[in-house]
Amino acid sequence: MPNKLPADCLIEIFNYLDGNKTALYSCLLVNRLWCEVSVRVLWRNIWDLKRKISPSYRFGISSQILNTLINCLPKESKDLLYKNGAIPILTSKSPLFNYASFCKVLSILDINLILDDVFYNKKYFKNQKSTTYTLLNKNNMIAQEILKMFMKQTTMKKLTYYSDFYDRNIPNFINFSGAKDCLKNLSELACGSNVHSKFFYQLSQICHHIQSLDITFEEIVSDGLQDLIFSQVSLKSLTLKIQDYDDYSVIVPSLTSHSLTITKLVVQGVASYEPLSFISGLINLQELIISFDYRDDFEEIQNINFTKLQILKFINGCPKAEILIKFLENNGKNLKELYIDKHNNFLNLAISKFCPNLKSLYTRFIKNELKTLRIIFISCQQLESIKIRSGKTYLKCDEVLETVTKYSPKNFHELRLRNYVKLDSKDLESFFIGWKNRKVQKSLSFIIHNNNEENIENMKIIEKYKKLGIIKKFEFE
Amino acid sequence: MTSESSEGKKVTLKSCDDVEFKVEIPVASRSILLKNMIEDVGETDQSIPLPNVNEKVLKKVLEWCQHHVNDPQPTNDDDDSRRRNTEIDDWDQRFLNVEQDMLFEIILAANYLDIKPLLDIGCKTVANMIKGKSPEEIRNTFNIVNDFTPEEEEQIRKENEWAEDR
Repeated sequence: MPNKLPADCLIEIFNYLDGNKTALYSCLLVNRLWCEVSVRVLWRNIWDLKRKISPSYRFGISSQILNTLINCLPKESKDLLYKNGAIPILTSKSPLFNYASFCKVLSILDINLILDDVFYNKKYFKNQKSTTYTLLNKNNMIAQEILKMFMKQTTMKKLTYYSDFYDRNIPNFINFSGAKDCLKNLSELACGSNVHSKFFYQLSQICHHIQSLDITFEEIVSDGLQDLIFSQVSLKSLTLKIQDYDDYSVIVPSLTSHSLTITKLVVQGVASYEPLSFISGLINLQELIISFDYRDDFEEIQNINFTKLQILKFINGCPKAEILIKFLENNGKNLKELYIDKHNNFLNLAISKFCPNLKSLYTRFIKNELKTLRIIFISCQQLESIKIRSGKTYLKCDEVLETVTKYSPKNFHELRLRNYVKLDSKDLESFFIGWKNRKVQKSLSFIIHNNNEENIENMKIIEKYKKLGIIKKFEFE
Repeated sequence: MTSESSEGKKVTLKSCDDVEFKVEIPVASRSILLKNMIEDVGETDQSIPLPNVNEKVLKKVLEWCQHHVNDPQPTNDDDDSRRRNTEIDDWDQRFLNVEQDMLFEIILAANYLDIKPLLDIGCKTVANMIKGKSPEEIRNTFNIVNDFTPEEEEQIRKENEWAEDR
């Protein structure tokens, strides 16, 4: 390579591969320089493993991670675990890197799940007949030594802390040596509301810069959670996950102190009847995502002005159309992204009237409402992406494509179709030709939501127009 | 320095192979390094030497700065959203459709001149070239020599095999 990229450029490149473990694993094995840089990105978050894979495959991955982590433990920890029969052999070879020091995400539940995968699998302890009780004890011992290592050797950016199914005794790692330095710079916390109150309280004493807080509400809401929320100085993003009958109202007073800094709010749950009125105080919201089966109390906030609101999504249920229309009249002007999983023609017309700056839209149209789609394209001249349903009771696929070609604004470049019904090759090709002949050339991303893959003939056409640069991306989602 | 106050005013940049470019200040100010220099030094007839960038690359970088002259300056807050988004817009994609040597030179220049959005699209392009490739294919693509000993390679493989796609 004549122009060798230095480490500071390589890290920027590998940051774009963050989460793509396969690509990062390939980078590790390229040469020494690539290895030294990419290993730090690969180990940043080792916990986002797919848990729905088969048990034997999961055992393989879990035992490999565990082996490397145990190998990174200090000698005294390894000796302790070996003496107590928690690990089968004592390895003397040091790892190539201190992998634990690269970890920036700590997931307490995943440590336990990995240990469960390994220790409940008979391959690991072939000759030992261990009872569940002794296995749990060994798991706790290993978890404790691994947590001690993390507390001493790294600084975490994100902590995920949920109680597990066994409600086992999780070591109080916040008291371990080095925990203060390890946890003081946390910027993300995802936790259950029932984590020990004392833990929340202690964390509130050392960590004040959490920007993103994700709380899953359980029957118990620990008192310390309020202390933790109160003690933060720059909370920006808040996610509340609520099940039936969970009471999240106890934390509402602590949220008021952050009403000016919170810019993103996600509230999701099932048929909760807890009030949403606290949202009205969050006047600097830029992003509001509500995911409930049904809500009828949005009325309380329909008249509030959120002057910075850019993203509004109703993932499942949606407020009544007339309430939402009023809300859009007050807040639609600055919206860039709108997601509404509901059909109402008056609502769609209100979008065209009150949301002229939209860049991305998902809504429903039923058949005979092609005119409304046209009006939206004409009114929302900043629109770049649209997601709509087609088929049966909705708009016909070929009509949608024709309207998109003729009326979508000049920066439009992404079409997502749900319930896409396969087109004749002729219709598909005439859509691409129409797109090619538009005055403004912008290559199109065409993403369809369909269980069946396209037929060979259509795929050939898609490939042809991809090569010509007319189609940028064609994907099934 | 806003584009309004500096409109029409020019600054001279000198490449490492002694070629001078007269550039409008708002265009040069896409580079944070140059922006700070211009603000510190004020108006000057003297050219600013850029010892790490040759004529060919500087010309290309300035073409990008000219096209993006009116883009908002990125803020540090955008770091995460920048990383999540691996899309590259059509013009930038065509702009970076160059020989690999030139792509790397642009990345190095963007890094040196502190032009974050240009560095980003350069790095995204390389990241996209890496995706789906084996270590050997990556070495071939970027002409990299494997300098591991067989033992080292085996140990890295073993310690990280949890990340391997099987």
